[in-house]
Amino acid sequence: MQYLLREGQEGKDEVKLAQILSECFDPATPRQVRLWLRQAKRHSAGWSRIFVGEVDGEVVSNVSVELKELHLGEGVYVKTGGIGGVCTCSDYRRKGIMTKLLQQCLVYVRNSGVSNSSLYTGLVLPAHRIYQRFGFCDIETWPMYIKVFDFNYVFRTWIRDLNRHLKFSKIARRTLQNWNCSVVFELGDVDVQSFRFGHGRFLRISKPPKSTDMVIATSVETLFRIMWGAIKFEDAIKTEKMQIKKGSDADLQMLKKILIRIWDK
Amino acid sequence: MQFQIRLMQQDDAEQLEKIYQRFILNYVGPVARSLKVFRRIARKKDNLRWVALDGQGKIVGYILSTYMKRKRLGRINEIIVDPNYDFETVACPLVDKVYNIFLEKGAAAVHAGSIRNPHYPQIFTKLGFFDVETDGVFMYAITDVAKFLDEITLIIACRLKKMQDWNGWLQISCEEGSRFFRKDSEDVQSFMWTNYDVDCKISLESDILACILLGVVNAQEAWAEGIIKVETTLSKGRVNELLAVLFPKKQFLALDYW
Repeated sequence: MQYLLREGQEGKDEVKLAQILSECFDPATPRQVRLWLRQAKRHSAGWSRIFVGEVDGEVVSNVSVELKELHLGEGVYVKTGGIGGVCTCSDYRRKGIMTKLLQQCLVYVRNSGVSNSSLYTGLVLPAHRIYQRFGFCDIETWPMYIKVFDFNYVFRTWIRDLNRHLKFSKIARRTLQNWNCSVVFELGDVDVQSFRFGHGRFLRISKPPKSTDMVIATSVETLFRIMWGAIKFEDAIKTEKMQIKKGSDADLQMLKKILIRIWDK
Repeated sequence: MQFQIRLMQQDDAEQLEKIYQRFILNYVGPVARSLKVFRRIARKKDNLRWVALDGQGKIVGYILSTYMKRKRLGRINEIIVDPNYDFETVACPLVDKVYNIFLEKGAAAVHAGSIRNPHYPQIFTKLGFFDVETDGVFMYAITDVAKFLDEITLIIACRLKKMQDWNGWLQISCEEGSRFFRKDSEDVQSFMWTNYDVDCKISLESDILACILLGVVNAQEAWAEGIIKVETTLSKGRVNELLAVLFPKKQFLALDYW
């Protein structure tokens, strides 16, 4: 496969960039991407850059870098190349495009007189290994404090977000292509929540169906911890924080992907 | 001490910036922010940004939060308190205020996250929040060691000044980069190279240097475990003292995400 790397261009790449960013992160519009581009440039006095990978005239990959200054002690700030928006269209992953892009990005950072780089990622994402290969080391993880008042609504929002995600994520659509399943969560004191996946859509079911493919008994806290990557799906089952009352192994694997939203093998 | 809570106003920007600058001095990792950033923050007109005032009407802390109407999700983004005041004493009424606003708005859930404010567990667990250690992580890489050593020279020199009853030569060596420091009773000077005999040479890898500076690895423990090497004429106790002064335990805190 032939590909080329270049700087992203305002007025040309926004539409495709919005599609890739929507597939990998939260939904984004071309207008938002244009605003980010302008904002990043303004904040770092023209230093920031967007690098894209192109295959057959189509943008398939993106990395952006912004200039930041980190406080390292005694009131001394050190410039850092803040890397973000690292993503590749799911059809072109595992072909080395991102590795090359990141390499170029770090060369740019170094050539412009910045001695270090920093970024945010997820420990379970495939990208984490790539960053480690480039010499990035883990500094600190990210705790969240959550309080839920209306889990019904939170569950409904989750289903809506999943459907929005499906709209943009080709890899998610491919993975869920032949999966038809209904899932019931028995969430202790809170309630019973259930959804069905079929015809390419997630559907929340207000009353649990009589015959269901999967029944999971757990707590809201455990469910959140799995979604945020705090506990591994398998560990939750092993430690009995999550009990599988009904469901095949294949369905469980699919449910895991849905919960953590990582579709790559 | 009682604090008055009021909505953030446009002309608070300068005070907010000063508090922020003072607050982050105790931490490593926060990003430098200009007055412009605080002007933009203070300009927004919603009821989710509050400041705490002391008896003289001076701002001693602030809270920034957002509310997503569609998701009915409240998010506490940032709590900053003047280091001269107790964090929790100032932060608690601010959090209470915002929390009640979220309830009034009918929030289905409230999130508060930070990498990694040490006061958050006490504040939020009291309010019945549960903590989730997410898989999100901040990563750091030194790509030009020589330049990086150059940039942190001032930090090392400032800290070395605090080392009492010791004068001599120190070398910090990291991969292809190296920096020399001469401490006498009055001052600390740094040099790119010298053939003077050094009293203490600290050798370490760039990733360890990053972790030590960002407060996630303890230098004395790293030395004990052989992760950093020290060649010295000083006693073990003196080296420990030197490491503690050069690389004090600092809390890593990130407030801006990109």
